[in-house]
Amino acid sequence: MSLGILAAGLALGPDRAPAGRGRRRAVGRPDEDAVTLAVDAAAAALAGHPVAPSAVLLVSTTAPYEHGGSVQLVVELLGLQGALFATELTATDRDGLAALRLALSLAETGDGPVLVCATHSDRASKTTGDGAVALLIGRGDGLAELSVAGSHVEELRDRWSLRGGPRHEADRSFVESIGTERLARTVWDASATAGAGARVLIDGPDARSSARLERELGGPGDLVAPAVGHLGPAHALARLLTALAAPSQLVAVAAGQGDCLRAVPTAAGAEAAAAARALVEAPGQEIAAPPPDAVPADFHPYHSIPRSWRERGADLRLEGILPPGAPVPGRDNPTGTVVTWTRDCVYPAAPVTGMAIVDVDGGGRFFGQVCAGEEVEIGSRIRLVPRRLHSGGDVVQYFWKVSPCR
Amino acid sequence: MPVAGNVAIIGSAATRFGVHHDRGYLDLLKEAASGAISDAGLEAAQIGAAWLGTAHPELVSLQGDSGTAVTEVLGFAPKPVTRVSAYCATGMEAVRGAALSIAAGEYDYVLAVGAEKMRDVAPRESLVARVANLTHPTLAKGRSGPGQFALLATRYLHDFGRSRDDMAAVAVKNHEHASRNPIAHYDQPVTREQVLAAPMVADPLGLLDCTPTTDGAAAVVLTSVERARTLGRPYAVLDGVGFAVVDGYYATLYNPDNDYLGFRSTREAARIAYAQAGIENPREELDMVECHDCFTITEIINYEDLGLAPRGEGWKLLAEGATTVGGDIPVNLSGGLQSCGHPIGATGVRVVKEIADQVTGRAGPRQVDGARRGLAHTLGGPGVLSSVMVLSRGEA
Repeated sequence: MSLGILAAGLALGPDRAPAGRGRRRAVGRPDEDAVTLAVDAAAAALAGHPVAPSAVLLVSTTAPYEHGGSVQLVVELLGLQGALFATELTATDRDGLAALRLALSLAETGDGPVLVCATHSDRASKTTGDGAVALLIGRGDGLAELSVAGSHVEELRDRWSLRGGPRHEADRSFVESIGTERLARTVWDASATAGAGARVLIDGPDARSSARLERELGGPGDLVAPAVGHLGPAHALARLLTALAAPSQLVAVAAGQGDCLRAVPTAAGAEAAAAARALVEAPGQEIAAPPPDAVPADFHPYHSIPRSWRERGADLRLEGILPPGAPVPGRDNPTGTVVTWTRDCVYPAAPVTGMAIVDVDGGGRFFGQVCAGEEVEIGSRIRLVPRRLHSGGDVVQYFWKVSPCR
Repeated sequence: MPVAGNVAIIGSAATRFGVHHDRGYLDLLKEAASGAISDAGLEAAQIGAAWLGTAHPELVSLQGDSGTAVTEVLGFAPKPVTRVSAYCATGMEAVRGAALSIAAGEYDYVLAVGAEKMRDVAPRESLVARVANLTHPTLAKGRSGPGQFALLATRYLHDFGRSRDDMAAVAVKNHEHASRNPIAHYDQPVTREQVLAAPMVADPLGLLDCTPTTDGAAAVVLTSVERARTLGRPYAVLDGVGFAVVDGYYATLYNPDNDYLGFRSTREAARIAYAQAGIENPREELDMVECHDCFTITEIINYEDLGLAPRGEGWKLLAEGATTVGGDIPVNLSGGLQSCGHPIGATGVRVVKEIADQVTGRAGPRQVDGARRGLAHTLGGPGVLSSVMVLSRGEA
């Protein structure tokens, strides 16, 4: 059996804000970030898949921790902790495809499938969207065969920031001419191995010239960016996922250096692509602009690293709250019914904090916050989802929140 | 010997409950403690030991974190002083500890004093900030005191088809009662319309459904009934003392058995106290009740948990006027926590003092004619513990 995409998941911020020239971008709620979006996408990818991954690759330039890592949170929230290889790629938008290349190598030589979670969350951005794509890479029947088609590396800096400094972009004419030319070279070289009839999807450092190059190469055009914004390193994966309908695909991405992958979709891939496109095209909740995260500067809730480690099972998987034998929450988010609720106007982390008591299906009682921007009432059917708590401390505290079933 | 029937309260005092910007924790503590000792006709040197109830010493530079505060204000060294803390039942737990020492025969006279200084910081920065900033980083994160009780209000109104009007009736009644209490934080009446129009705190609880944040202190002096009989002074007898702790603080919030319609801790504590006092029909056998009306819904639920009304029918007592002054079972004639405020360590001692004053005929304009027996109640944490005491007039 060949290597390929065994399963896929896509998660997008639920709100849609204007992104200029008729475009929209997906915006996450204040309690969502790159980690929660990655977990949401990964849970969708892993749902019903019989084989647990042997490695997890998290890809993000907006992960909450600059140092110290975020992938372990994704792993714990998915109930995959333990003997597992996990790492993260955090340099450029190109790292989404780079992670797929690594995953192919790991899956070929390792003990099982590899989960790639590419995720992006930047609520303050005016153009990028908040979203994540998770692809389970391994050997077997799935959504598409996947293979390496080419790479190109040289010192070509289009976007960058020094550590702790502001973000910079190179002169647009330079990126359009030199950057896109290098991208074209990468794709051209890769085309030799892609085979006839391959459609090319380009996610380069400059959207306009990348689109022009894609048109010249007969590609379908980017349907994702106008609907939900550019998803950072998840974007190339989102484009790949939503385009799996064609008989053969070649996807190229470049950000100073480039990777090309060749994908040959199956019938199941076409179904997954249709579902992903429906999610991208769903209207979402229209907003003029993301509301600010209203946590006051003097809100410094207690936290303890030893406690977080000791009680990670309760925090991240509801161990001790749900009965023994309950499904792992991150991979099969629990559902339940609201027993009672309130909107608390004095909890100091937000103007209003929704709180709910929930009887969990299959046993167990949950008490916690309602997801930001959501409301429930007695009898509401809900799903427990991992979200970040209001946190003014030096760590991000993740826990479960109540989200209405829709 | 057991506490019930054998321990007496022979003196009491309380500061005015309110915002005391000009007085510190130790000032309030001293006024109440010294006042109670004087009221008992004693000198501090005659007190063998003391129990101090303070729940939040971190609000006042950790004064009250141990019993040393009592030692300091009374010149009490080297006598033992024990600080106790049991959430909002802290004050009554101080009284119970003192009573146990009398029952054990360890001392002739002991002092129970509760004090809390909560308004050196703005209300939102005191208890609310403590709950938000100092408690568990994840479990039930996002709750506040009002928010926890609002969960019961939502469920109660839903299940029994009631409205905010029923809760407003508690606030209107207790604020009217407070007009006869010179130590109440707020002694002016409020209207139903004012209650319903007040800003929302935690839906469906508005500002006037909530106890204010308050400074204050209260104290009582205890001795044995046998000794009290010899003093020639009015005294109250502890007929029944129930204290129930039914679950862990966070565990109770995740306990599927909690129906959010009542408090098992109050039912258990009342069962113990009633059994000790020989009470079978509390509405018939009690002359008045001081119960924990931290929020208006709590008083309605307390009626039911204390056996004054069937489940789901507590609101009827208000509609009938049964719990209003002149009713057959007046509740919170002091104005309750709604009007007196809730300086946490002091509250439990204050409600015991209020009932002791009533059964000894010393309640002034609030006096219930012929009162012989009453009940004091406080509820702590997310309803996880409760204290109930039945007091009666002591016979000479």
